[in-house]
Amino acid sequence: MTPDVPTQTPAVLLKVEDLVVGTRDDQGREVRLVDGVSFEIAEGEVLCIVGESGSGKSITMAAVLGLLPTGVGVWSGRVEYRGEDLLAADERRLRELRGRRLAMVFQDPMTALNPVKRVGAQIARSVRLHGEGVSRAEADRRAAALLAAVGVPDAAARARAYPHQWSGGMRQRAVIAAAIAHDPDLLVADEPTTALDVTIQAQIMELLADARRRTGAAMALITHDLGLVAQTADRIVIMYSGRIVESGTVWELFDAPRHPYTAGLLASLLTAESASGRAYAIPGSPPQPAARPAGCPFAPRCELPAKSARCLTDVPPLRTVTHAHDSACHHAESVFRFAQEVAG
Amino acid sequence: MTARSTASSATADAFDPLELGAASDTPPPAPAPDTAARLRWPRLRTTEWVGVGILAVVAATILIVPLLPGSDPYAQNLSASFIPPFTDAAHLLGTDMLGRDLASRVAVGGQVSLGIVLFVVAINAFVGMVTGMIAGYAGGRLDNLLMGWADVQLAMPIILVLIALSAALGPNVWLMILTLAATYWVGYARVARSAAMSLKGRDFVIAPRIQGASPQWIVSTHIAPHVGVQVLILASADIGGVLLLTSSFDYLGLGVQAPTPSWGLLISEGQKYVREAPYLALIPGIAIFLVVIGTNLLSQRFTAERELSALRRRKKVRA
Amino acid sequence: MVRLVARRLIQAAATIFVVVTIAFGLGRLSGSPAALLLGDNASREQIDALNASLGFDQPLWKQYVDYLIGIVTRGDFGDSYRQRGISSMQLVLERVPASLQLGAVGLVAGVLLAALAAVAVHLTRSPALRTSLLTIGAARQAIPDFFFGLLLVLVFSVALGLLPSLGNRDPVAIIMPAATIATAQFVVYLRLLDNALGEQSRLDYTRTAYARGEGRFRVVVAEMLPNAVLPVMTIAGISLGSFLGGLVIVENVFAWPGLGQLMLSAVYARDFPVVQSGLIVVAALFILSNALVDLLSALVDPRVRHLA
Repeated sequence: MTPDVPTQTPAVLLKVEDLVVGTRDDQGREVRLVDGVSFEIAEGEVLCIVGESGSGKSITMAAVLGLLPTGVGVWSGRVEYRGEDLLAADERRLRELRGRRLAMVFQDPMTALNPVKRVGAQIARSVRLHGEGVSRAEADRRAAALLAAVGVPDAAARARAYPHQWSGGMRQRAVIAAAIAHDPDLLVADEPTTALDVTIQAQIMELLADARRRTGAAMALITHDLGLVAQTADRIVIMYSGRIVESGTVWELFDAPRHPYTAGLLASLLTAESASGRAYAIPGSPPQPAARPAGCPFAPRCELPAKSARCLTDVPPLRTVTHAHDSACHHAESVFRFAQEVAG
Repeated sequence: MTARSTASSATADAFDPLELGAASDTPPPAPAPDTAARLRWPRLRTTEWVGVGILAVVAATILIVPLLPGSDPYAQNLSASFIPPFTDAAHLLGTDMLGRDLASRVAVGGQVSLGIVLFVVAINAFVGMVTGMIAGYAGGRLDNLLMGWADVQLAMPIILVLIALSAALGPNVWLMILTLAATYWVGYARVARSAAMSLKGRDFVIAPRIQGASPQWIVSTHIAPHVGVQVLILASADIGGVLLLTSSFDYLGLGVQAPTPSWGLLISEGQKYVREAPYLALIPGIAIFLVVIGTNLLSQRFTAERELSALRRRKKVRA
Repeated sequence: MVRLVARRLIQAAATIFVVVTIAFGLGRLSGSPAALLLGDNASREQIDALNASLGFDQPLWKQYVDYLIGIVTRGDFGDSYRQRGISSMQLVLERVPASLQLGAVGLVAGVLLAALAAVAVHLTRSPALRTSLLTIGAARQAIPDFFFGLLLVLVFSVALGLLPSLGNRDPVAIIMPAATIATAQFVVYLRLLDNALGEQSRLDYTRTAYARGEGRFRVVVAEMLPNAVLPVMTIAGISLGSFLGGLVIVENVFAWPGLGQLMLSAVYARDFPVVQSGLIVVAALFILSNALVDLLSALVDPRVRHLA
């Protein structure tokens, strides 16, 4: 997908600054699930938030929308939507924004819809929530239209069915239809295709791209699938153990990663060249949030030749390495060579 | 009282975005210890100590009071009937409608009631454990038979079975014990069976089998201790429930027969005089309540864990 | 659909047949009843005469066949031993309405209260509320139903003189027995619904609802609750047995003229035909209520409906 070169700097839609989200574990210890995360999303752009399970990527966006579970809270930081402080906003204001300006689509289409209500009724509910005085009949009509727009055949009739009568791919379409019902500014998609077949994945991503094209919405795509990232992202943020370890445009990151974690992720992708040899795999697993090591959280697994004692003691700050490319590594400069080596 | 379970479920309330990652990066649970020697006695919490305390007091009372001089649950003295508690030094808890000392009746009644309960639980646990272990380890037809019978059990209300049998053969405490023994062992069998099945695939079970050890040896040496612990836990949690059940039967006249005292029977006798002498029914009732609370406090950790273990398997370990 | 109903009816008939046979067998377990009924002073001739009139001198298989024929052709389930000449089934059926009334009121009250409490806990998200409710519940569960009923009588009949302690003559007499049942059911269903709501809150459709801007009240009541009642109903069907047991006990505590109390007094009097007929009726009611639960499940859950 060729990137559109903007003629002017687009407005900042969402700005997250030093967000810290934490909870208390069973022993009462404080645990930071998101440990100081900052990024911005501009209007119309696609930001991919990439990371493993437990990296804090989902929690970050949940915090933005105020959808954190009980026991998990924002401890510090700032979240601004078009300049409005979302963390200070009351629940009523957040409810106004949710579904209308900020929409979220979740991972598992099997459970994303209420099993005891008809699909059309659930979409119509989205329509009625933020549409002033829309009648039931009108909402049903719009719901059917939305379903047709996302490619559901025979929408009006199928809307009367229950979710268990729809396939996974169709259900995800329905969920997306509900999400874009009011042309949101920002669509947050949390692993929208992980639970789907590969062929359906492509369809859903195309659907999302189409919706963005029509409405000009920005998208925050949370995923662990680098293949998706390569196809969709404008900019990428890589998260590891609750922190951002690298961020930049998709071209920068894929061509010249500046963090050993990113290098490892890219190397572990099976490409046409590496498929013949052995794929690289990052050794070990991420630390538990309650038991992060001192220093760089990735250090225990890092295989960078330039790794030093400093990596085990000082947490590397996220610093700008080149234009629009940040990395949280003490030895960001030497990553390039390492990346070439592990990619084989 | 259920603080632990409520704390966990409070944080588990509402949705949990951390659940999103379908692939779990948590390590599998630690394997069971491979020798019986490693089974340690767990540390008790405050509420559990309270439970122990209550049970100790009750046990001491029902064991000591009958040994005191002048304590006779059967001696009638109609001229000394309906003496209220704490008024007469000779009868600390008063006397009943026939002048019998209430304290000794409650104490001996406690021995009877709890004796029956422990007996019933022990038999059920043993039979259930053996059957379940064998069925779980051996599998196949035996297993199917057991599960089939278990399903039939599930729907039958015990009280109706006992009513039917009592109507046919006459109310009798042994009839009650036998009926309970014939139906309750199934719960233990299920637990033992699933424990045995999960242990079947462990290294410390497979290894001896490869070396040619006989199934009986394997079952008794390696499987039994672990299954035994599970069964013991279930049994301790069950005592309260069985006491409630047997005292209900005693109350209805389908269990322990007069003049032998038992708590349920005492309450039924005392009910006739609830206006004049409420203490006659109140005291044995409070005794039942204390024992049930005591055992529940003690075993609540394990029941809460069993209830939550299914939920926990979904909640990933976060810390 | 028709096939389903037909299958259920056949199953029901088979179950009833088994119950009839077992009840018959049990009734013949203790041998001839005449000796018991007439007491120790009866003479040999009196015992034999009574046995003959009751049909006990016939061979067992003939008694069984006669019994079955009697049921099918005349609806005759045997006369009560205690009240000669009166059909045992008639006595039993007379008592069913009172039991149904008490059982229904107690169960519905308990379940409704539990639903209110569970929803309140999830709406307020207050651990204090949940802990206190569960603690009260645990305390109630440690009290046997008959003792709890007695406590109610002590407070409301003896001490306060507000309510009658037995029978159902007075319309307010239902309050205490129903409260005994309702509180016991409340504890059970509160736990179930609390867990069920907790499970539902973890599912994605709840998040989707919040993400589209729904408020908490609507999500808990309109989205989660309809899903939460499904597993609860399944368990309700299974725990019908213990519910019946509780009903028998409560009827006896309050001398409520229901089926349970009749059957128990029949046990004392060794009036086996009444117990026999009672068992058959209970089995029939059991089957009916299971069918009712299944029907309700189908109504609430479209997945069940489409499976049928």
